[in-house]
Amino acid sequence: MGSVVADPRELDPVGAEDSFLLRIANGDHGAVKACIDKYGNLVWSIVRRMVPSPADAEDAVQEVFLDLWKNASRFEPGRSSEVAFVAMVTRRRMIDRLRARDRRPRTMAIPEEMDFSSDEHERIERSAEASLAMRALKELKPEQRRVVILSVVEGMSHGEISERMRLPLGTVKSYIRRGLTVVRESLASSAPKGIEGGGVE
Amino acid sequence: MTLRERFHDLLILRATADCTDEQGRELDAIIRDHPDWDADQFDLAAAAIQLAFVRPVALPVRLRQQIHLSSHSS
Repeated sequence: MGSVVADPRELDPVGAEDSFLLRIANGDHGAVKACIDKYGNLVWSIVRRMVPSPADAEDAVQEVFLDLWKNASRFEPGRSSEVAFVAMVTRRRMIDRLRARDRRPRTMAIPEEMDFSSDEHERIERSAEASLAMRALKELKPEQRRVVILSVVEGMSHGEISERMRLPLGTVKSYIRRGLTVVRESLASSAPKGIEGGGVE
Repeated sequence: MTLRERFHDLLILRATADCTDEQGRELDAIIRDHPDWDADQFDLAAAAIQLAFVRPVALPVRLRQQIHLSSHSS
């Protein structure tokens, strides 16, 4: 993990025959262990970041994998990479889980000012989508970028961001909408089909 | 605001964990009425941002085995 994709326009080239999730959807139980081996660290990393309690995190990571098995047939190669799909299912499960407990995701703090040109950011990119997202975020004004990161990565509510950054709530919502939209459009421009803006809706 | 714009607003709220129960029900209804509309687009965008910032933590071996066992029993 950690390599930067040379050409972000080529989403991870996982074909249907290479996809662990589609093999699982087709009843190939041998792919279960391979999928856990490939994505276990990623899922655990996201879960641990969003769920502070180790005991809760252990329950949560098992729920995520159950969700992955149930939703395996929904993965569409070419629409996203498998790793991005896994990250999406993981986030969605964590958000649902924490909402059910009336808690927001709580993640580790990130530095107030982030150096987007640093090797550290290159090192931790995880997929073509991550590279595209990072590039799209760089296009935003620093204040807009900060708001998006506080929301998506740090898990703060729109109201909390408004207070912390002393910005009107409407401005925070506008920045988040803008940030997610530019990332979505960047992903869509690289997807062969299926994503709104670059394909069909 | 068009229904499509409202749909996008609700997807963004869901992707950023800021969706109320009422908004969640409203979103579910739109998705049900428009199954051809892409309901994953902003969740995928948020996942891509998350991937860009995630720091690797190794899944404990014991937990890895537990997930494997529970996968076969489910």
